[in-house]
Amino acid sequence: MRNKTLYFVIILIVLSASYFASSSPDGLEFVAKKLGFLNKGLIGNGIMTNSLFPAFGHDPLSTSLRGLLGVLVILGVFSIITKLLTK
Amino acid sequence: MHIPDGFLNSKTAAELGAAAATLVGLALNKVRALVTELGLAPAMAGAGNGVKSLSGKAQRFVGEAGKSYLSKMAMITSLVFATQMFNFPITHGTSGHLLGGLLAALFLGPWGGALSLTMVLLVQATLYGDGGFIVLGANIINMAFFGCIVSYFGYLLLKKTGLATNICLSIAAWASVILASLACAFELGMSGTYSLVNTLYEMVSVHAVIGIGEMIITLILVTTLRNMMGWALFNSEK
Repeated sequence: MRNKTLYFVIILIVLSASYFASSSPDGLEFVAKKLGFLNKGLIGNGIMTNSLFPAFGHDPLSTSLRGLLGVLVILGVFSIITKLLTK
Repeated sequence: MHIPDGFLNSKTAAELGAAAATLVGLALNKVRALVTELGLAPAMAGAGNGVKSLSGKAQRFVGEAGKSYLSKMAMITSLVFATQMFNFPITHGTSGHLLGGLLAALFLGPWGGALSLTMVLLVQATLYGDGGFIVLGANIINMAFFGCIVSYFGYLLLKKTGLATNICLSIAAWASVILASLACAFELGMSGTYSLVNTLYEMVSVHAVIGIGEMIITLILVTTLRNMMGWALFNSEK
Protein backbone atom coordinates (compact mmCIF):
# COMPACT_ATOMS: atom_id res chain seq x y z
CA MET A 1 0.00 0.00 0.00
CA ARG A 2 2.79 2.39 0.96
CA ASN A 3 4.71 1.33 -2.13
CA LYS A 4 1.73 2.27 -4.29
CA THR A 5 1.63 5.71 -2.70
CA LEU A 6 5.33 6.23 -3.46
CA TYR A 7 4.89 5.14 -7.09
CA PHE A 8 1.99 7.55 -7.35
CA VAL A 9 4.17 10.38 -5.99
CA ILE A 10 7.00 9.48 -8.40
CA ILE A 11 4.62 9.56 -11.38
CA LEU A 12 3.22 12.86 -10.14
CA ILE A 13 6.75 14.33 -9.92
CA VAL A 14 7.60 13.17 -13.45
CA LEU A 15 4.37 14.48 -14.96
CA SER A 16 4.60 17.86 -13.25
CA ALA A 17 8.39 18.35 -13.51
CA SER A 18 8.37 19.70 -17.04
CA TYR A 19 5.74 22.30 -16.15
CA PHE A 20 7.68 23.69 -13.21
CA ALA A 21 11.20 23.11 -14.48
CA SER A 22 13.35 26.13 -15.18
CA SER A 23 14.57 26.34 -18.75
CA SER A 24 17.76 28.17 -17.70
CA PRO A 25 21.04 26.31 -18.32
CA ASP A 26 22.30 24.11 -15.51
CA GLY A 27 25.52 24.76 -13.60
CA LEU A 28 27.86 23.08 -16.09
CA GLU A 29 26.16 24.63 -19.15
CA PHE A 30 26.33 28.04 -17.48
CA VAL A 31 30.07 27.70 -16.85
CA ALA A 32 30.67 26.32 -20.36
CA LYS A 33 28.84 29.30 -21.84
CA LYS A 34 30.68 31.79 -19.66
CA LEU A 35 34.11 30.33 -20.43
CA GLY A 36 33.21 29.89 -24.08
CA PHE A 37 33.43 26.13 -24.60
CA LEU A 38 29.71 25.38 -24.78
CA ASN A 39 29.92 24.92 -28.57
CA LYS A 40 32.38 22.05 -28.08
CA GLY A 41 29.55 19.93 -26.73
CA LEU A 42 27.71 17.68 -29.14
CA ILE A 43 23.95 17.63 -28.89
CA GLY A 44 23.01 14.37 -27.28
CA ASN A 45 20.93 11.97 -29.27
CA GLY A 46 19.01 9.41 -27.28
CA ILE A 47 16.53 6.79 -28.39
CA MET A 48 13.57 8.91 -27.34
CA THR A 49 14.87 12.22 -28.63
CA ASN A 50 15.53 11.18 -32.21
CA SER A 51 13.34 10.01 -35.06
CA LEU A 52 12.11 6.92 -33.23
CA PHE A 53 9.60 9.03 -31.33
CA PRO A 54 8.67 11.71 -33.86
CA ALA A 55 5.38 12.33 -32.12
CA PHE A 56 7.20 13.78 -29.13
CA GLY A 57 7.97 17.45 -29.47
CA HIS A 58 9.57 19.77 -26.95
CA ASP A 59 6.39 20.91 -25.26
CA PRO A 60 5.98 20.14 -21.55
CA LEU A 61 3.52 17.29 -22.13
CA SER A 62 5.96 15.46 -24.41
CA THR A 63 8.72 15.92 -21.83
CA SER A 64 6.44 14.52 -19.14
CA LEU A 65 5.49 11.48 -21.21
CA ARG A 66 9.11 10.89 -22.10
CA GLY A 67 9.98 11.04 -18.41
CA LEU A 68 7.18 8.61 -17.60
CA LEU A 69 8.57 6.14 -20.15
CA GLY A 70 11.99 6.53 -18.48
CA VAL A 71 10.49 5.58 -15.11
CA LEU A 72 8.78 2.56 -16.68
CA VAL A 73 12.07 1.45 -18.26
CA ILE A 74 13.86 1.70 -14.89
CA LEU A 75 11.13 -0.27 -13.09
CA GLY A 76 11.07 -2.83 -15.91
CA VAL A 77 14.82 -3.42 -15.68
CA PHE A 78 14.60 -3.84 -11.91
CA SER A 79 11.72 -6.29 -12.17
CA ILE A 80 13.71 -8.35 -14.70
CA ILE A 81 16.78 -8.33 -12.42
CA THR A 82 14.67 -9.37 -9.43
CA LYS A 83 13.00 -12.17 -11.43
CA LEU A 84 16.35 -13.47 -12.66
CA LEU A 85 17.81 -13.46 -9.17
CA THR A 86 14.84 -15.13 -7.49
CA LYS A 87 13.83 -17.63 -10.19
CA MET B 1 26.30 18.45 -14.30
CA HIS B 2 25.82 15.89 -17.10
CA ILE B 3 28.86 16.26 -19.35
CA PRO B 4 27.95 16.06 -23.06
CA ASP B 5 30.18 14.36 -25.60
CA GLY B 6 32.82 16.72 -26.93
CA PHE B 7 33.69 18.44 -23.63
CA LEU B 8 36.39 15.93 -22.72
CA ASN B 9 39.22 14.64 -24.90
CA SER B 10 39.16 10.96 -25.80
CA LYS B 11 42.08 10.05 -23.50
CA THR B 12 40.35 11.45 -20.42
CA ALA B 13 37.01 9.93 -21.45
CA ALA B 14 38.61 6.49 -21.96
CA GLU B 15 40.48 6.58 -18.64
CA LEU B 16 37.35 7.57 -16.77
CA GLY B 17 35.39 4.92 -18.68
CA ALA B 18 37.79 2.26 -17.42
CA ALA B 19 37.62 3.64 -13.87
CA ALA B 20 33.81 3.66 -14.02
CA ALA B 21 33.66 0.08 -15.33
CA THR B 22 35.83 -1.05 -12.41
CA LEU B 23 33.66 0.86 -9.98
CA VAL B 24 30.42 -0.62 -11.33
CA GLY B 25 31.90 -4.15 -11.26
CA LEU B 26 32.93 -3.66 -7.64
CA ALA B 27 29.53 -2.25 -6.73
CA LEU B 28 27.72 -5.16 -8.41
CA ASN B 29 29.73 -7.61 -6.31
CA LYS B 30 29.07 -5.70 -3.10
CA VAL B 31 25.34 -5.47 -3.80
CA ARG B 32 25.12 -9.12 -4.79
CA ALA B 33 26.63 -10.04 -1.42
CA LEU B 34 24.15 -7.70 0.25
CA VAL B 35 20.97 -9.05 -1.36
CA THR B 36 21.85 -12.73 -1.13
CA GLU B 37 22.27 -14.91 1.91
CA LEU B 38 23.99 -18.23 2.33
CA GLY B 39 21.72 -21.15 3.06
CA LEU B 40 19.20 -23.44 1.51
CA ALA B 41 16.96 -21.77 -1.01
CA PRO B 42 13.33 -21.95 0.24
CA ALA B 43 12.21 -24.14 -2.67
CA MET B 44 14.99 -26.64 -2.09
CA ALA B 45 14.52 -26.71 1.66
CA GLY B 46 10.87 -27.67 1.23
CA ALA B 47 11.70 -30.44 -1.21
CA GLY B 48 14.18 -32.00 1.15
CA ASN B 49 11.64 -33.20 3.70
CA GLY B 50 13.24 -36.05 5.51
CA VAL B 51 15.88 -36.42 2.84
CA LYS B 52 19.33 -35.45 3.98
CA SER B 53 20.70 -35.05 0.49
CA LEU B 54 20.84 -31.30 0.87
CA SER B 55 23.60 -31.36 3.46
CA GLY B 56 26.51 -29.16 2.44
CA LYS B 57 24.60 -27.91 -0.57
CA ALA B 58 24.14 -24.41 0.81
CA GLN B 59 24.21 -21.73 -1.84
CA ARG B 60 23.60 -18.02 -2.14
CA PHE B 61 19.99 -17.05 -2.77
CA VAL B 62 17.87 -13.93 -2.57
CA GLY B 63 15.76 -14.05 0.59
CA GLU B 64 13.00 -11.77 1.82
CA ALA B 65 15.49 -9.12 2.96
CA GLY B 66 17.13 -9.18 -0.46
CA LYS B 67 13.78 -8.83 -2.23
CA SER B 68 12.80 -5.86 -0.12
CA TYR B 69 16.23 -4.26 -0.76
CA LEU B 70 15.78 -4.69 -4.52
CA SER B 71 12.30 -3.19 -4.48
CA LYS B 72 13.59 -0.28 -2.40
CA MET B 73 16.38 0.17 -4.94
CA ALA B 74 13.88 0.26 -7.81
CA MET B 75 11.82 2.90 -6.01
CA ILE B 76 14.81 5.07 -5.09
CA THR B 77 16.24 4.87 -8.60
CA SER B 78 12.97 6.00 -10.16
CA LEU B 79 12.55 8.69 -7.50
CA VAL B 80 16.05 10.08 -8.19
CA PHE B 81 15.38 9.95 -11.93
CA ALA B 82 12.06 11.76 -11.51
CA THR B 83 13.44 14.40 -9.15
CA GLN B 84 16.41 15.10 -11.43
CA MET B 85 13.87 16.33 -14.00
CA PHE B 86 13.02 19.25 -11.68
CA ASN B 87 15.28 22.14 -12.59
CA PHE B 88 15.08 24.77 -9.90
CA PRO B 89 16.16 28.29 -10.83
CA ILE B 90 19.11 29.88 -9.03
CA THR B 91 20.81 33.26 -9.58
CA HIS B 92 22.19 34.67 -12.86
CA GLY B 93 19.81 32.77 -15.14
CA THR B 94 21.11 29.41 -14.03
CA SER B 95 19.25 26.36 -12.85
CA GLY B 96 20.17 23.33 -10.83
CA HIS B 97 18.71 19.94 -10.22
CA LEU B 98 19.06 17.23 -7.62
CA LEU B 99 21.92 14.77 -8.11
CA GLY B 100 20.53 12.42 -5.48
CA GLY B 101 23.76 10.53 -4.80
CA LEU B 102 23.68 11.02 -1.05
CA LEU B 103 19.93 10.39 -0.93
CA ALA B 104 20.38 7.01 -2.62
CA ALA B 105 23.34 6.07 -0.42
CA LEU B 106 21.50 6.98 2.79
CA PHE B 107 18.91 4.28 2.11
CA LEU B 108 20.83 1.79 -0.04
CA GLY B 109 24.35 2.15 1.28
CA PRO B 110 27.25 3.55 -0.78
CA TRP B 111 27.47 0.68 -3.30
CA GLY B 112 23.76 0.23 -3.90
CA GLY B 113 23.47 4.01 -4.16
CA ALA B 114 26.24 4.11 -6.76
CA LEU B 115 24.48 1.42 -8.81
CA SER B 116 21.23 3.32 -8.52
CA LEU B 117 22.88 6.52 -9.83
CA THR B 118 24.63 4.58 -12.60
CA MET B 119 21.25 3.25 -13.69
CA VAL B 120 19.82 6.78 -13.80
CA LEU B 121 22.77 8.03 -15.85
CA LEU B 122 22.56 5.06 -18.22
CA VAL B 123 18.85 5.67 -18.88
CA GLN B 124 19.40 9.42 -19.34
CA ALA B 125 22.23 8.87 -21.83
CA THR B 126 20.58 6.12 -23.88
CA LEU B 127 17.00 7.37 -23.94
CA TYR B 128 17.44 11.12 -23.87
CA GLY B 129 21.02 11.89 -24.85
CA ASP B 130 21.28 13.75 -21.53
CA GLY B 131 24.97 13.31 -20.80
CA GLY B 132 27.10 11.90 -23.59
CA PHE B 133 27.61 8.21 -24.18
CA ILE B 134 31.39 8.45 -24.71
CA VAL B 135 31.75 10.43 -21.49
CA LEU B 136 29.33 8.21 -19.53
CA GLY B 137 32.29 6.96 -17.47
CA ALA B 138 33.13 10.53 -16.46
CA ASN B 139 29.55 11.19 -15.42
CA ILE B 140 29.48 7.95 -13.40
CA ILE B 141 32.73 8.89 -11.64
CA ASN B 142 31.45 12.40 -10.86
CA MET B 143 27.95 11.58 -9.69
CA ALA B 144 28.07 7.92 -8.58
CA PHE B 145 31.59 7.88 -7.12
CA PHE B 146 32.17 11.41 -5.79
CA GLY B 147 28.52 12.42 -5.45
CA CYS B 148 27.49 9.17 -3.84
CA ILE B 149 30.21 6.90 -2.40
CA VAL B 150 32.71 9.58 -1.30
CA SER B 151 29.93 11.82 0.02
CA TYR B 152 28.44 8.95 1.98
CA PHE B 153 31.76 8.24 3.69
CA GLY B 154 31.96 11.96 4.44
CA TYR B 155 28.52 11.69 6.03
CA LEU B 156 29.70 8.75 8.18
CA LEU B 157 32.72 10.78 9.33
CA LEU B 158 30.45 13.68 10.27
CA LYS B 159 28.21 11.28 12.21
CA LYS B 160 31.22 10.26 14.30
CA THR B 161 31.50 13.82 15.62
CA GLY B 162 28.14 13.31 17.31
CA LEU B 163 26.22 15.89 15.25
CA ALA B 164 22.51 15.26 14.63
CA THR B 165 21.75 13.03 11.63
CA ASN B 166 19.85 15.75 9.77
CA ILE B 167 22.73 18.21 10.14
CA CYS B 168 25.25 15.61 8.94
CA LEU B 169 23.20 14.69 5.92
CA SER B 170 22.55 18.34 5.03
CA ILE B 171 26.26 19.14 5.06
CA ALA B 172 27.08 15.96 3.14
CA ALA B 173 24.37 16.65 0.54
CA TRP B 174 25.78 20.13 -0.09
CA ALA B 175 29.32 18.77 -0.21
CA SER B 176 28.30 16.02 -2.65
CA VAL B 177 27.45 18.62 -5.30
CA ILE B 178 30.71 20.51 -4.67
CA LEU B 179 32.71 17.26 -4.90
CA ALA B 180 31.03 16.25 -8.16
CA SER B 181 31.57 19.72 -9.62
CA LEU B 182 35.25 19.68 -8.54
CA ALA B 183 35.72 16.31 -10.25
CA CYS B 184 33.96 17.61 -13.35
CA ALA B 185 36.19 20.72 -13.42
CA PHE B 186 39.33 18.58 -13.05
CA GLU B 187 38.25 16.44 -15.99
CA LEU B 188 37.64 19.53 -18.12
CA GLY B 189 41.04 20.91 -17.07
CA MET B 190 42.77 17.58 -17.79
CA SER B 191 41.19 17.52 -21.24
CA GLY B 192 42.55 20.99 -21.95
CA THR B 193 39.02 22.26 -22.57
CA TYR B 194 39.74 25.38 -20.50
CA SER B 195 42.32 26.38 -17.90
CA LEU B 196 41.96 24.24 -14.80
CA VAL B 197 42.04 27.07 -12.26
CA ASN B 198 39.33 29.12 -13.98
CA THR B 199 37.12 26.08 -14.51
CA LEU B 200 37.51 25.04 -10.88
CA TYR B 201 36.63 28.52 -9.66
CA GLU B 202 33.57 28.90 -11.90
CA MET B 203 32.24 25.38 -11.32
CA VAL B 204 32.55 25.59 -7.54
CA SER B 205 31.04 29.06 -7.29
CA VAL B 206 27.91 28.04 -9.23
CA HIS B 207 27.56 24.67 -7.53
CA ALA B 208 27.97 26.13 -4.05
CA VAL B 209 24.51 27.65 -4.65
CA ILE B 210 23.05 24.59 -6.42
CA GLY B 211 24.26 22.54 -3.43
CA ILE B 212 21.83 24.43 -1.19
CA GLY B 213 18.99 23.08 -3.36
CA GLU B 214 20.44 19.58 -3.07
CA MET B 215 20.60 20.02 0.70
CA ILE B 216 16.96 21.13 1.01
CA ILE B 217 15.55 18.49 -1.37
CA THR B 218 17.59 15.69 0.22
CA LEU B 219 16.44 16.72 3.70
CA ILE B 220 12.78 16.84 2.63
CA LEU B 221 12.91 13.51 0.77
CA VAL B 222 14.81 11.68 3.52
CA THR B 223 12.38 12.92 6.19
CA THR B 224 9.37 12.02 4.02
CA LEU B 225 10.65 8.55 3.11
CA ARG B 226 11.54 7.76 6.73
CA ASN B 227 8.09 8.79 7.93
CA MET B 228 5.88 7.78 5.02
CA MET B 229 7.60 4.56 4.02
CA GLY B 230 9.01 3.71 7.44
CA TRP B 231 12.42 3.17 5.84
CA ALA B 232 15.42 3.07 8.12
CA LEU B 233 18.67 4.68 7.07
CA PHE B 234 21.21 2.17 5.76
CA ASN B 235 23.13 0.60 8.61
CA SER B 236 26.76 0.57 7.51
CA GLU B 237 27.87 -1.51 10.51
CA LYS B 238 25.83 -4.55 9.51
